[in-house]
Amino acid sequence: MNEIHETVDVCIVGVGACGGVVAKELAEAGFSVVGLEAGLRYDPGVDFENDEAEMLKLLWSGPRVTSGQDPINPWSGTGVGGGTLVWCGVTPRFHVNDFRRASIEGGGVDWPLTYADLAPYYDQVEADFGVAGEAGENPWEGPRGPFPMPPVPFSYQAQALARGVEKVGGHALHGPLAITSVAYGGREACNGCGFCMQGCRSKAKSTTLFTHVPQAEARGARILSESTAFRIEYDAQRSRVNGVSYFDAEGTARHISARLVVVAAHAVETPRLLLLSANNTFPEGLANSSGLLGKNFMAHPTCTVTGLFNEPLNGFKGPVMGDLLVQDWYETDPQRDFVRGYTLEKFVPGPFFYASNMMNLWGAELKEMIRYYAHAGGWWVCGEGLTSDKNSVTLDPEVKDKHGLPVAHLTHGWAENDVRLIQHGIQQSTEILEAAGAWRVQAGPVSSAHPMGTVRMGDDPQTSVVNSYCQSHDIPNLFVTDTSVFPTGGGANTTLTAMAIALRASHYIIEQARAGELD
Amino acid sequence: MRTWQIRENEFDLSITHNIDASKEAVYDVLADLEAYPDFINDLVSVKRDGDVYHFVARAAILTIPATVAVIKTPGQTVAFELVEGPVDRLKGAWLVEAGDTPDQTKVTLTVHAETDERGEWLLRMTGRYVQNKTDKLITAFSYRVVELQRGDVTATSVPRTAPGGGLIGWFKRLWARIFGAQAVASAKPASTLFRDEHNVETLEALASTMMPADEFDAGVQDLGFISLAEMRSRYEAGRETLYATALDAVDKMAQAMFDKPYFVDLTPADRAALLDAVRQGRVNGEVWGHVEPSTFFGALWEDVIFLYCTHPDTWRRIGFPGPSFDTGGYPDYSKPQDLMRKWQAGQ
Repeated sequence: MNEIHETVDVCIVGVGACGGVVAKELAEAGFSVVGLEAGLRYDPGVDFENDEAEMLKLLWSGPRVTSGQDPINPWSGTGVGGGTLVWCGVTPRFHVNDFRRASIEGGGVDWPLTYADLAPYYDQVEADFGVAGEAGENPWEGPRGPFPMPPVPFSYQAQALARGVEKVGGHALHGPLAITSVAYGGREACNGCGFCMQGCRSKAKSTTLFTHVPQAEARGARILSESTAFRIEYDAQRSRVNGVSYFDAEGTARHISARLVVVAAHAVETPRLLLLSANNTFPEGLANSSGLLGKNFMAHPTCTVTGLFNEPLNGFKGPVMGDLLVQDWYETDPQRDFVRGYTLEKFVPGPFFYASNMMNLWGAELKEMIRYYAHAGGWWVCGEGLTSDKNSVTLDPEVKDKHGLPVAHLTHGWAENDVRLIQHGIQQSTEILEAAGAWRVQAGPVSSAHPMGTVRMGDDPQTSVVNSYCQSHDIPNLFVTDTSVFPTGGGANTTLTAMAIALRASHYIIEQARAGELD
Repeated sequence: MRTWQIRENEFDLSITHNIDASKEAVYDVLADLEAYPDFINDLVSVKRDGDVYHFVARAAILTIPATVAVIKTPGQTVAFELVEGPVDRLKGAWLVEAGDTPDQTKVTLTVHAETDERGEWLLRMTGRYVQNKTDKLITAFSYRVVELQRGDVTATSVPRTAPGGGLIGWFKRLWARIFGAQAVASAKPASTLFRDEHNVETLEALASTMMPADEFDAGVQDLGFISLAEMRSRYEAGRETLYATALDAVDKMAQAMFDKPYFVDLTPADRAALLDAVRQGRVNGEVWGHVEPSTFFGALWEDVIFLYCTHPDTWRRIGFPGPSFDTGGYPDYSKPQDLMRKWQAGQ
């Protein structure tokens, strides 16, 4: 099945969190669907191992070039399931205000949709994917229905940290987690093995490889793994895209004709593919009449802050991240010298990754942190980074990938606000750890996570690339359904919001296609 | 059934598996070496030249060539011996026999490998890798036989063996991620850099400065740092130059900073002060040439910390039990915890 000769209804590029949602929805609605995934297809029982080294095979490792004041290369996943293979399953919703920060606080832009627009899609994604949590617990969360599963109980480490949270007057929240707290959807409850980031052998942690993809395939969708899209083809006479060219596993160039193309390759590879697809009509990149394709590249500024306690916490047991969340410093506070805020998420990974988050230490200082690994309790600070038109994803003029195609060039610098915000997060994490009884607290270097923003959504074709349904303003049968479309980044993990947006776009595609609007 | 053991520089593996197919079908798949890349993702290509086969295997984004001599006994065995490749000596065989039930065929893979005197560490890591990979290999062969019987050899969505894991692949990716280095494809012969006594002594001193011995343990000492550095230098462009430049530079810095001829002559405190100067880039640029001192510091950090944090002896001391899934995970994760001393004592 290396070649597909007939014209399919939909070709999806990137079968991860969002591509999985679109594949399932459209296949179930009767569309013929083909998904192209650059990475491998894994068999959880065979390929996922309790070995820290196994994490990196799930990360995009193709060459990229980074530059700017603060060069970053935030992680992206690879393989059928995408980032949901390697992720920790932390699934908070964005807050009501996240969609209209510009109107409330100035700076950035508003989203072309609201929390209320997304709420029903959040509900459905949580049910389809399997999200555990405690409804009504988070005072800052918008109106919501019940979670489909009860919360994952706090690990012993989380309980220790929660005592610190309460002492400083904060709220210790059960993190919404896409991890089975009870048997759900044919999957067993999580056994707490602690290797979430290695793919999850037990299937307790949700990935679209276990959830949406098999459902899509049951309705006829075909997923081609090891198939790397390199160009979206455009019919200038019809002003429509008409297919995707890709390299198969052997490196042979092939083509699929499609009536509709959906790109969901995450916020670096998605703009790269559109830029690679430039043609006479769109010389600066496909669907780029706004000139904004690849602009406004964003990520969350992040940092790990780890405390050592007298008692053993055995942080390697249970969910690796986020069974405990804190959002007391998420919303903008005029008393602080920065806008926006952050989420604190409990986090202690395996010993090597734990040490790797402290590359600012060495010698005896680092050795002490490793020696007391079993006594460690830690936070991952996930902050909102402001948008900046100086940050971008472009095609590198020199470096080529193994197929000879220009790789992505990421230009990035943190704003002064980002630096103040993350420092506040580090300070607050430290206070909590000390209140909880830590005898040594250590922050790592500032890092980044969650690429976003390079194919911005909006109502105005002059100032955005796609509309609120992820549809290109320029080309009606071209959609982008991943975090690329985020106008602003929120202060928490992005996957659930991106999946909800992809689900909303899928329903729009179904309605529009049935009405003949996408032909 | 599977057994594997390591004795000093030697590694032995034996694994037996029943496949639901006839002996003929199973043998045909095992003997058709040139078709292996169709269902084993770790293999890029296999080309035949008489009784010798040229394999190109991949571990993540690294590509490793190997030449193997093969002797087939039709219907029974496929024996192989490494002619040229990443370890000194490797030989083994596939044996095909009647299975436990009439519909099954029993397949046994035996492998024996040897390395030089520094190989204990290498074999331990390789052993873990091979242990993981053989499971995948057997699964891949099982799938292949079933696929052939169904006449469904072109399905793309059948899970195949996955590349990844593997020490070199892991390092290569980490290296690329942290330092933006480009992938390199092929290995070169073992470097003489790591055979020189002074170089070895200096490198071990640098590693022990990064992760020092103290009352808790001996740090990275005796964990096989040299063989790791040597292995990486064989497979990564620029790595050997990086180490060669740094080895020369730290001796020159010892002379300039402390009036001692060699880094190894310094006290532990002075070694740490020198390494900190390297970390901060407070160095005489001429001594380092084109090498960025902080790049060397990062490389040393990564090698040393990886070695220390992934070693089972370290795990025992810090109370990390390693893999847990096959023993049921940790249903007690929300209960009060003790250090896992039983595990520490028992293993």
